[in-house]
Amino acid sequence: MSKNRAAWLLLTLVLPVWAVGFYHSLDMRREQIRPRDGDRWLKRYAALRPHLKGSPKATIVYGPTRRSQGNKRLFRAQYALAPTIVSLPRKRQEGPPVRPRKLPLIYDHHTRSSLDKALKPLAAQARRRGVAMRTEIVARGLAVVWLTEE
Amino acid sequence: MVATLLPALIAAAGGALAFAVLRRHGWDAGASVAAAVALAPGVGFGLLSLSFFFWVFAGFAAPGRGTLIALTVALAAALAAPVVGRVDPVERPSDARRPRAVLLLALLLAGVCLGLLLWTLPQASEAQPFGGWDAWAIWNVRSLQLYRAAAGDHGRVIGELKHGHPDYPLLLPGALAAQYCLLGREDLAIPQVTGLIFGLAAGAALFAALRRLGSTLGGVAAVAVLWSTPAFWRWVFAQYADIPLGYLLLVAASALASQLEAGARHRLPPVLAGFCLGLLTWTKNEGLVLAVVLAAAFAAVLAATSRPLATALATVRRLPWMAAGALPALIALILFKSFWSPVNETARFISRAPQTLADPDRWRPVLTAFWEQLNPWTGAAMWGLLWPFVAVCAVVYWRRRAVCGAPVHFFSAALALIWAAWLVVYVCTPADQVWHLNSSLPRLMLQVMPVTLVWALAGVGRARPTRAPRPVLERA
Repeated sequence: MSKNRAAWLLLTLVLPVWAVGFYHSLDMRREQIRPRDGDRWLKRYAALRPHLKGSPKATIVYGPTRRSQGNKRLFRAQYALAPTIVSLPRKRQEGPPVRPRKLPLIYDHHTRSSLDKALKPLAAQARRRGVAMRTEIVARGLAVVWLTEE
Repeated sequence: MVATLLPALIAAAGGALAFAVLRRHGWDAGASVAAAVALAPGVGFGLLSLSFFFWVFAGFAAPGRGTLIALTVALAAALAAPVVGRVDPVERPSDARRPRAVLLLALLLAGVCLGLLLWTLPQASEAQPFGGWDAWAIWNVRSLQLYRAAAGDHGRVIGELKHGHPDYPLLLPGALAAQYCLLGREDLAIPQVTGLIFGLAAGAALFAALRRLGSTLGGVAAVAVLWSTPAFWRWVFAQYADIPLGYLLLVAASALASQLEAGARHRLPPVLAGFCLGLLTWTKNEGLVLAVVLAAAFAAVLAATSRPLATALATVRRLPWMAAGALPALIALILFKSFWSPVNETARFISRAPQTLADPDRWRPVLTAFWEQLNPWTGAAMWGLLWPFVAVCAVVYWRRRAVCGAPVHFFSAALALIWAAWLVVYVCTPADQVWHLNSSLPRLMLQVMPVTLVWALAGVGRARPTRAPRPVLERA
């Protein structure tokens, strides 16, 4: 087969591959330029930083939410607060144990009322166990809680 | 503006270094430019990432601009110093007459995609400034942790992470953090532009690889196919490490393939080849698997293809220099895995392998998932007609295998091993199998796509090995 013919044959093979790929790529492109959450969440979690007082780690306790949304919030908090390590409580359903701790807790709820509802039993438990609890409200539904010895 | 230009400047510096090394080794200017453009981001970001890592691993905070530049230049000088396997300048053979219209048409196809990519960058950056999920959960957050951590605290910050794959190596995060150091601040434009540069470089590397194998038209066609594949568009703006890994896999494979070429004219300097191979392991965990696979395929083809004893010995004599090139990245990987990185799932994976490989219920979902990606009825939205095209090329390769050179056989062997490795990974995974397949299979296939295109188009293109020129003067 002559070189010219082979070249045209190759292009004949490649052209439909390119065309079909390009067609579907335009769909992919539309998806990539669809706006996502901007820096709204970044600002929300970055506001925690002065309240963490340079703490190397923090535990995040988030309010009732779909599991995937909870993971999203964890990773977003991790991004916003780097290099502070953000982790989840070991027993998520029960929440973190109420005892004096050097590291802060971050309570992340959607609304102030939901946050208050979560903090109330925590405060009661802290009083019963003789643990001092200090709460710093950072934004709507977002608070930093310090549990120290009384 | 500076933040937008900085990644390009670093890639350009890497390309300039590669160009200088290639010229010292006797490459002609035209081939040096093509190869240097292909190698630019790997060399540039790779050196930067390693310099940054060694500095912070030594217990210092993120380096200042001057310190980082000095370290990078020192590392570059160490890699560029040895001149091994210098090629005597030979007359460039006259270019074979190429059908001009076909080439121009192929260039047009690639050019349309390139224009669209560049036009889309600002829109994609505005829509998802932090990239996709893995970007802000793994790669970009790691770069911030590296940049912001106090002196001596980097190991603790990474070692105590519970989420976000803290065991992943640090090529991309290190390169991003290093750029923050050069810029003097963090900037979202850095990961956005760096990601696209790797995507464009994958095209350049594809072109350079096929041009070296004797098919300029094949190179342009391959770039057109790569840049028009929907999966490429899915992740090129996502700021993930999969496209950089795919690019480095292609560059490392091409570098090794060039060591097998009959003629020495455009054999990549072994130190540079080894450096690219080392960077593969420094990018993602699967990079180590890929590097081992490439090494195994290289050894197999070297042993299997008949060649004069002197040529074989000359190839073997270059191996220590390749190992030397890979050393900086391998040392970084060993230090990272030994002292910083938490233990990953590898041990559990290996212990499960015997029983999971023998279990047909483990194979069924994996084969189903692979088939769903590969066949055009279900996979077109992600791959277009790519895989049927590769299948056609595979048939042509098989029929012409007797006349294909050792480099093409090397790509065949490497790809066969890589696909087999991916199958085994999914059969043996300790994670939920369906979740693992859904969340990562297309990306693993994307990593392999550029190398697959080289093999596909090299197999159908000019197949005769280049004739050896006059004897090469080699200095160890």
